[in-house]
Amino acid sequence: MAIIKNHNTQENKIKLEDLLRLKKMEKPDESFWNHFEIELKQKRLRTLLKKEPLPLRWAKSIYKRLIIITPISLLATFTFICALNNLRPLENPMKQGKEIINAKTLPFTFSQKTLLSSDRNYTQTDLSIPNRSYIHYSLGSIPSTRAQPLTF
Amino acid sequence: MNHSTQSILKASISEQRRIETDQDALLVQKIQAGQLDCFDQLVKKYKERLYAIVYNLCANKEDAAEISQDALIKAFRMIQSFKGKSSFFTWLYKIAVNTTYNALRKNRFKRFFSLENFTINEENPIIDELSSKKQADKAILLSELQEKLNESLQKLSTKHRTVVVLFEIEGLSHAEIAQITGTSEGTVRSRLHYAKQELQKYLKDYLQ
Repeated sequence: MAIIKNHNTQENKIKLEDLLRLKKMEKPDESFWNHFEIELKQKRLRTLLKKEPLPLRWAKSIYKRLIIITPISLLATFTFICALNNLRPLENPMKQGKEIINAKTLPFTFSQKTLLSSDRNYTQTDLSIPNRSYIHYSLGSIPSTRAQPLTF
Repeated sequence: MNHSTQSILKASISEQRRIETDQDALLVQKIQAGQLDCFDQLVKKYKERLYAIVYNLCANKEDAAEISQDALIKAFRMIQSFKGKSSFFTWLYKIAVNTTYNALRKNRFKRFFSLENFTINEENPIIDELSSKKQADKAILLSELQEKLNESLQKLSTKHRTVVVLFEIEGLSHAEIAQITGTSEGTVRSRLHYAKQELQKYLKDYLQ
């Protein structure tokens, strides 16, 4: 190693690019390529002759079909759901014996655990509306037809 | 080499690449149509370049031979799915680089150097300087330099090594490397800059 180092300090500049270009000169000889090509041909032949295992072939054929079928069936399902939603007759909640109540006038009952402190910090709030399973949020006099479950 | 000569050289290289790309596209079409023997022509054309990339990435000639054969077989199996969105050689190089990455990741291959002999067939200031030495000295110096160079390259991460190999040794453009590595040109440039800085550090005893 010392020989090259000394050599370098005495002589002209050597750049990194020159060193890397040396790598281009690392080449195998002709006999290597003959051997390489023979081996490659054998491997190729084996690839051509080798049958894929049955489960893999099935999986491939199913996959190919799924690629075509999946988007179509998804689109069809989506269209069907959309159509179903739009064509459903309007439900009249009054017929079902459900009461329309205004969200603003909901009766709030707090459990005994509820603490209402002076600085308005609420803890363990238990809000329940007995006997009413749905609330219709209504604007003006036209009640909304879409019943929504009350969730908090 | 002045600026105008460089630009003429670049233009001629790009023209040559374009012609090569067209020829490759034609051969690929033939293979896809069932003329499988056309693949031999592609192998003949690219085997050396492909082997050089893999060899410089793994620094072991036996592994490089096996990996480049695997890459060519993979390309042969997948050629029906080649749509021609990129040139054939970038597609092939991409397969080779990914196959090498997989092999190195699996640690399937030996992690010691097995280096090729030098075939001195082009001008290089280092070779010119060594030509004054005795034949025996020259061989020792070259083998020492080769070992140090490969050692330094192997110290780089695979991503950085790939960029150095493809740009400095194989002479590909930033855009082509970006296609092969699946990154942007900016990333390629920054990786190259960093890798060169690291190599300068490792090889500082040999550089001025």
